Amino acid sequence: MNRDMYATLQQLLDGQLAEEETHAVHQLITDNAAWQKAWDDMLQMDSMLQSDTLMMEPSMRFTQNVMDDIDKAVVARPASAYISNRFFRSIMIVLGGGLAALLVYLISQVQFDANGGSNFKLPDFQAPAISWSFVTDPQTLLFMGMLNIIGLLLLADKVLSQRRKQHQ
Amino acid sequence: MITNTLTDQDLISKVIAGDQRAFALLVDRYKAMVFTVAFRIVHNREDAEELAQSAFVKAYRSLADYRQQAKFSTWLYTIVHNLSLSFLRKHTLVTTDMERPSVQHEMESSNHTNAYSYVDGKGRQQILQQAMLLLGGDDAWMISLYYQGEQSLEEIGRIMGIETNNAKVKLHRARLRLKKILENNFAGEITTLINH
Repeated sequence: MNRDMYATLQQLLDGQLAEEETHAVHQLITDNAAWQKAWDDMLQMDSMLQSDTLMMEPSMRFTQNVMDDIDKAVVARPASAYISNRFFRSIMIVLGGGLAALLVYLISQVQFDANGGSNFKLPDFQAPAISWSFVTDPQTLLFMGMLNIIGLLLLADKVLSQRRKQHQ
Repeated sequence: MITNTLTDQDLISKVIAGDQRAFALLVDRYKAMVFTVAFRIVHNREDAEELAQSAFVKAYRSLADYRQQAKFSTWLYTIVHNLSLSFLRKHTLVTTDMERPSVQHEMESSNHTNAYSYVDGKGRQQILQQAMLLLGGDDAWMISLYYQGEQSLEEIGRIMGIETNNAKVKLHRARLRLKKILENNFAGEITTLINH
């Protein structure tokens, strides 16, 4: 009961009750001594929190320290600042135009007969014959393995040097 | 000349256009709250200052990514909140509770013999300051953000990555816990000061 009362009064204080509920709770406060006392306490507490909670101040040189730090930093420019919208529009026009041209070409290849049917056939496409045997070649595998090891060592070096910088 | 009447958005546009001095105004505008949030989480002045500084530098570096879906302050507090939590995770500090040694140390290291004599001398702001030190978890910084940082429940939820309703419940519990701490630790003084 106590918990509910405080929760309801807190909602009233924060202005989160509907009009009817607000009216009902105000009535309770007027009629009931316990609600009246809790409400008075809450108002006093709230007013104290609003007027007397201290904000803490950092050192006098704080702003200067921040500005010294950011002197070394560079503000990242938004992508829109260096990539023009025209660039994206050109790509869309080229892709859209290509697709439209392909569609027109394909439709123009269809030969409709008198019955409303068509004898459309996609052009024949012969995939080039590629020999994949080099993938299983031991020398290729050895070379790729060494590349992977070198890559992993470079990655480990990068991660470790980043960690070292963070700890300094 | 840049005046302090410019909105956050005006200042951000100036910074992105290359005017670094505009960022100094943003730092001045929000440094106290950013520092307070960091301090309420890590409970140490030096660490909080370093975290607040890192938060501003990080904000500066990613200013171009700020999408204005939230207020600049909300975005900034999210950064400092996340940095402070990462810091805590790395340093595995225990969460605050009433018996937390560091809190007792902070209270003892102040120039007073006990909390009561301090309260007598300084008034309700110091009572609250001491009570906030005794609050644990997210309670203290949530209260600071709500009452001093002008953040709504929705914005606090966004900072913490939780639903607004959840933030509402958490804030409600935080206020109850603060009330309990005030009653348990500053019983005599609080009545006098509240009714003052």
